[in-house]
Amino acid sequence: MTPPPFLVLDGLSKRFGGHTVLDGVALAVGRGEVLALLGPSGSGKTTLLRLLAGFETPDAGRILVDGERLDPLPPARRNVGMVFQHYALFPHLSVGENVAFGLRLPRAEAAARVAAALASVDLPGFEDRRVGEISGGQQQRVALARALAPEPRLLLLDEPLSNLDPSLRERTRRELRRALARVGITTVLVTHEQEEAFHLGDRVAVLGGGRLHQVGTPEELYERPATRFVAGFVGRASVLPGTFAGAERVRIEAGEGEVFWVGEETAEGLAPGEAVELLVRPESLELRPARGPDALSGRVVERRYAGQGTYYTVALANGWEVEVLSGPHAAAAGETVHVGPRADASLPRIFRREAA
Amino acid sequence: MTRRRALTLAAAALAVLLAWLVGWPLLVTFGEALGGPGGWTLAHLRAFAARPDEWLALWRSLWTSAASVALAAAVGVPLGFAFERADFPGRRFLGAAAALPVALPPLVGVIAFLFLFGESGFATRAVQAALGLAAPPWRLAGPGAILLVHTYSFYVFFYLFTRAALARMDGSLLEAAASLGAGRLRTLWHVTLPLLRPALSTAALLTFMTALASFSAPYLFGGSFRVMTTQIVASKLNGDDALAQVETVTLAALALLGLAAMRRADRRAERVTGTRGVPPRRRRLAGPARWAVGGLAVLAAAFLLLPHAVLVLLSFVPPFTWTAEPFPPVLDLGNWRTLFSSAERLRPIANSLWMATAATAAALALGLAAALVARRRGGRLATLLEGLLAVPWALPGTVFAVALAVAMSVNAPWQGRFLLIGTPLILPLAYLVRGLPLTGRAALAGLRQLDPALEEAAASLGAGTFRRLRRITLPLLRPAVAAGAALAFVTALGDFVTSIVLYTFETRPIAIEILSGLRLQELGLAAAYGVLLMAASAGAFALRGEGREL
Repeated sequence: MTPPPFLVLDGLSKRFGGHTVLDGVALAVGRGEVLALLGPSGSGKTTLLRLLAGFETPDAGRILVDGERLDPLPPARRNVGMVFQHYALFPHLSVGENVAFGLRLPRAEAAARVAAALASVDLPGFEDRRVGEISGGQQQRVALARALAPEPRLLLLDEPLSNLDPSLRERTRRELRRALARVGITTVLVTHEQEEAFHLGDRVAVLGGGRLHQVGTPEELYERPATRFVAGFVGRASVLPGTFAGAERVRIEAGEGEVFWVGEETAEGLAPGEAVELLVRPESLELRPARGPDALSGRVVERRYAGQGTYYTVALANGWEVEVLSGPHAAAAGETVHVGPRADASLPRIFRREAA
Repeated sequence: MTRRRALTLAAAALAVLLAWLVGWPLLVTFGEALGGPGGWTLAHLRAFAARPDEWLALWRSLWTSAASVALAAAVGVPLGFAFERADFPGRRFLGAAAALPVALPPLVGVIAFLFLFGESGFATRAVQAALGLAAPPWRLAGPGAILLVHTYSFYVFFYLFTRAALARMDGSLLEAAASLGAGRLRTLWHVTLPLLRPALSTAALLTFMTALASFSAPYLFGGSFRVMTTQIVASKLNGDDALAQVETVTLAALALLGLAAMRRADRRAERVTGTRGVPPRRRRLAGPARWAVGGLAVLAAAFLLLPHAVLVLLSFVPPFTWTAEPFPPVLDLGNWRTLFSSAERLRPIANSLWMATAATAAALALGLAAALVARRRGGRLATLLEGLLAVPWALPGTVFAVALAVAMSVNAPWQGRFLLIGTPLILPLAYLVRGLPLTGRAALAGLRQLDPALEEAAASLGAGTFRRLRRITLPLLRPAVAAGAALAFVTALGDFVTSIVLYTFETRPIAIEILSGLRLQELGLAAAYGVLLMAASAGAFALRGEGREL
């Protein structure tokens, strides 16, 4: 069950010059929910965040928080906290002064609030430190404390972990997730890393080319991607062109006669004979010892060991490549193999083929 | 939308004000150069073109400037390499000392040279005594003397630009060259120097334009060897206003050509020096090389500091006590006592102080406002504002002095002209115009370095426009702007080139008093005034250094 919407984006569009960066994005976020905006660079996710913060004004559409219009307000009057990608801590102010900046309270009260905010990010007593003398991870937490101290209605995080060493990233991510859960604030965060989005977001919104492709839980996105873009961007998948044969069946012609695979339809009203694409996860395929009626033959061109499994890239007779997840000793590079769908795995997704 | 309109209004108002200050006097001068009693005429231009000594002055200006560039590069580039690429004892201190002349008022440098290498200067006497000569071994006059002073004053441009470019250079490029088998010379020739080219061409243009504008050295050492700046002042003081106007317009046109070239070079430099990576490593010199380079650097630094030292020493020499001896026989505090006990002697100091303070305060306010508005507004108005801030920086002081003298010599308020000549307002106005580029460009540079996310962060924390300005932007701009203001203040305090055209006896500044000290043979007093200016410059330079760290 989704909670009643607290933040509503209603048909947001933004153009820079002649270039459309956001195209009619509509989205609802529940109170206390953490929404991750996931997309490649240039997808418009940062622009969306800047529209929420008020640093850009939309060309069309509305932003509502708790039923109130947010978009006509200047940034300073939105009561929206933001953690910037490079933190944007004021270099000439101490840690305490940074956190106190957004508080318009009597001195003693402000000091108490600053102390509490710093304690909540595990930096008690850091008030008098200079911004330049604390580590990157600590700066990130100060930025979070500064954004949260004025008790904003909404928290925005712009690539919150991208500025950290990979070794620090996972730990900071866990800490961030716990802090967000503890505060219970409605949060929108932007990231281009799927793992980060899946871990931090209650739901994930996938943006591509300025359009919102799908919003859902990580499971939904992975198991039932709504568009070919989502299927390709979230998780690994191979693309097999084919022809729709009706009744969820796709005919694949990989150079050695017809093979029919069963998939799950995503587009309405596919007609038999229509050009489609089949998106298949590596774990939905298996390597078979012998050629069967539903197997494609090919040669292993690459074998990539990844701990819990091994990925085999198989080149089919006509040159297409598919990726298969299997055991570490399933095949050797150069070996001829046969690839077929696993019976116990989720079905490949069928998308209507877009004209190139 | 209303915010944008307010910004546009502010930008337009500032542009009008700056255009009146910076552009209008030049346009009026240009108009008068082409004007006569019967309307437009080319008579003045023709008269100018018909006089061979005008062409000679123009030619001398050009060739001395070009020679100054070559000499300054010959000293500054190797010095920059030595201090940036090698490590030897005393590198840090000497490296800072080598940059000293950058903030020294030109007149002070010139008189220091006079006291050192002039007819009765220290070095001259020492050589004369050592060789037992009856007459001084050389005369500090003519183009040679001018070039000597120019080299001393302008090598700093090459030195600083070379060091900065070397420090910025990606060290992995040098490592890549080495790994590809290039020796040290090949790397220098094919990697380092091509990468330095933008910085060096900027330094060259800067030197050329500063040499073109140079007045103090040609005025004191040139004698009959006239260059454009001294030619203009001579015409002006002879009362030949029409000729002075044409000369001024000619020099201004030359300088504006230089400015255009400079902007192109700047843009090219920005494109090239965008790389980052490993900082280049400094070579630790060992054994004899360490001592040789160290010794040479110490010698060079001593030579650079010598004029300063001589100035200080001379300020303790009582008048008319030093005649034939190689070293002054008497040293006391007499000059300093005279300077601080007589109201008439203090007068130029008080004049320079108040005029420089008022001009700097106004230049600071205007430059900061124009930079802030330009940066926020963007678009063509911003380009116009930035251009107006840069113009006085490119134009020789002599040009502005004459232009102000022409434009502000009649009372015609509806034409934007006021009778300010002969009033105490004209000099501060001239100083203000000359200070604008220093404060304005410093503010622009500071704003460019400011991360826009900082202001956005403040806005998202609820701070309105003025609170953001007061708490975030201005405090972060302070080091850069303070450095610019300090330079503007020192330039105004030691100004000679505009003062000599515009001063009145009542408002005579320090530089004019130094000149009259030289004329009246009160060398000690002149030196004492010079020491004061030198101290002020050193203070400003220290501030400038702080600003650069930001």
